[in-house]
Amino acid sequence: MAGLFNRKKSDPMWDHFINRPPADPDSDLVAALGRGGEGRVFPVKSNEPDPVVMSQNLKHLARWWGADLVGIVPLPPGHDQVVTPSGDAEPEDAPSDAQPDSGAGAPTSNWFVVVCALFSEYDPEVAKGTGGQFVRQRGAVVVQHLGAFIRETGFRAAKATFDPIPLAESAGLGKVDRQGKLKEEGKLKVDGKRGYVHVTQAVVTNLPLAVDNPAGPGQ
Amino acid sequence: MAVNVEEKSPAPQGDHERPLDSDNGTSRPVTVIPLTPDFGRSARVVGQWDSVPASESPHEKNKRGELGKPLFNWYFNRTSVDALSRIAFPQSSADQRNTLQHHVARAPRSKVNPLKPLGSDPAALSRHIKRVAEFLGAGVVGIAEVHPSMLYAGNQFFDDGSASIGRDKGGKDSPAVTAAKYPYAICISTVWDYEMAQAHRHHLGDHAYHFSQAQMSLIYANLVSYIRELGYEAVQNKAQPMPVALAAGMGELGRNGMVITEKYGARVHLGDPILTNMPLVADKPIDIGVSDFCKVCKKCANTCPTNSISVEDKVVHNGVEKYKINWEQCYRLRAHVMEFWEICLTCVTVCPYTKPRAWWHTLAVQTLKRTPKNLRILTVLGLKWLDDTFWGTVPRKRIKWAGYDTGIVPVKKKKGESAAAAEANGHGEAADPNGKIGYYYPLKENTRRFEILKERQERAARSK
Repeated sequence: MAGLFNRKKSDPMWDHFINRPPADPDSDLVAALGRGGEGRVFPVKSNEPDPVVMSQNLKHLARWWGADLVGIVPLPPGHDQVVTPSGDAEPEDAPSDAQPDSGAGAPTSNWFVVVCALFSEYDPEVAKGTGGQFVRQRGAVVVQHLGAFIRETGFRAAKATFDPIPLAESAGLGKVDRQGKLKEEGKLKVDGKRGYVHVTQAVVTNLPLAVDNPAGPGQ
Repeated sequence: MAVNVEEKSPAPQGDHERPLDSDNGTSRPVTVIPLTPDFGRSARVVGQWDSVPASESPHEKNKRGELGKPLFNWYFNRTSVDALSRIAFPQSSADQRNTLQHHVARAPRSKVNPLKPLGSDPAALSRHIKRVAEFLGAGVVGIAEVHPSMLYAGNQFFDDGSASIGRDKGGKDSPAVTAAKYPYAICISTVWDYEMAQAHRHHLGDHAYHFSQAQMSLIYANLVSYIRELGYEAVQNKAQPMPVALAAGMGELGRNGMVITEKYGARVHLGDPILTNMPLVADKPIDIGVSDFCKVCKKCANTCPTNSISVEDKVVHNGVEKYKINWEQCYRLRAHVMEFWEICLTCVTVCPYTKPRAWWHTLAVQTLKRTPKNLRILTVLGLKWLDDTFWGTVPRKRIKWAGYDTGIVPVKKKKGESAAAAEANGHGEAADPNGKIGYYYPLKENTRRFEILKERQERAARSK
């Protein structure tokens, strides 16, 4: 909707908001959101939820918090992801091998990646201003909320430390173009141009979830 | 005449002047600020007012234990039984690091840019700031000229869980000095999800409330950083949101003590306004007929489970004529229902202005707005009848959302039967299928309100 109005024409200051990087790095809240650390896992596990229902609920919540596309894939082997216990409160029946397998072999069956993609009017790689970077912040918020919610249900969750774009393609969220960006083909158009989807981050969790069909569209 | 910033107790009438901020301090245009601020028709200053000390706000009193042990424990020692509630608000959490507010509150404070890259054109800056706020997610944005009556006496307000921790802890200026230092206030609101707010007195309603609060703390933090980036000062925790929102034309004060906006009704969340020395153009109070409607409607007063909302006319409180709610009675409920829900929201939900954004809502508000004041009673009666007929006296809608279910059988209307009649016939009632967490549990509607009032009057008459 915002793209229907050319703010640049009606507001000569808009370009500054979008493109001019802040003079003070402290203006960037994305770093602050990641700096505070993850909360503990709630000591009481929620009733074992049905993976399909839980996946639907997680996707619903992620979209409500601002994600445009959400997909779930199993954590493939070889991803160097460490999910720390995050505090002193451990779930009673936490598996002893709580860290996902980072070696080669079959996909780790009990760890999943929830990939969130957010649409942006502006490419955060190019637009370095507060407005241009805002999509990164929105992504950080979605991931923060998702991870926190999963931890509060008694399961482990942490922000993915690897590049989730290939997994987004596996989850059916779109196609990765030659520039390494995820595009949801033919759907989003802004200002007469083809819009793009910017994959922000993902959450790795051992919460039992139902994975998306890689051939089908994400949610 | 230059303003005497040391003035402690402003006179009730007359105007005074204060210098506007300018780029380099060489030219200081002088503007006249009325000592009686304009809050619109819904709240009129009619006498001597005093700035309210921040220490007298409900949460602050509670933190000192002045409201009793149950509320004290509710504030400091609660952990919600609901997983989503535990990440929605720091006071409900098991670990505050799982809440967004915790991280936003601890974000470093950016410095004021010594340059002013966008200049100091007030009209252009005002337009720009409003667009930026909307881009960041604000629902309604308004700018008000700061008046000392809008500021806390004591000049600062710290509330755990807000974006205020670690910020602006200095400041011993009087409200008059602060108003001169920061001539403008920017107030924004986030909007509660309409469907979820229908699930009042349920965890779903809590989520609509608390997550919009989290979003708002993020928007405010971004906006403060951006204003500093533009070379101007921006501070929070000094102004009361309600008077700023009224003066900024964001809405009018309703009988339920909430700011009622034109687009979203009462389902908005106001945060701590930003005070700034950025040259801006202040908005004016609006008139969308709230005073006229509230005089007749009284839906919120009739349905308030704690009788906190008065059915009587406006009263003069602290020199301001307005509808006054009994906040303490409202606040005290929380400790006793926290197992089931945290925020009541019934007065917001029943308000006829609180509707989804649709053409018919806009049409209704615009019709009332454009009706001459002396004829508004007719429009109000018509709109009230429409609201009762189509929406019922109390909205009772079954909401299913992300695994939650409010668990009420929706109002089943027979052909030709109004929603209100269906409720009266008992179709709106439903057993709580989930035992403890369900719609309206554990309170019932305050249907005996008028009988209670009548009984009280009779008792008083007998005692005389």
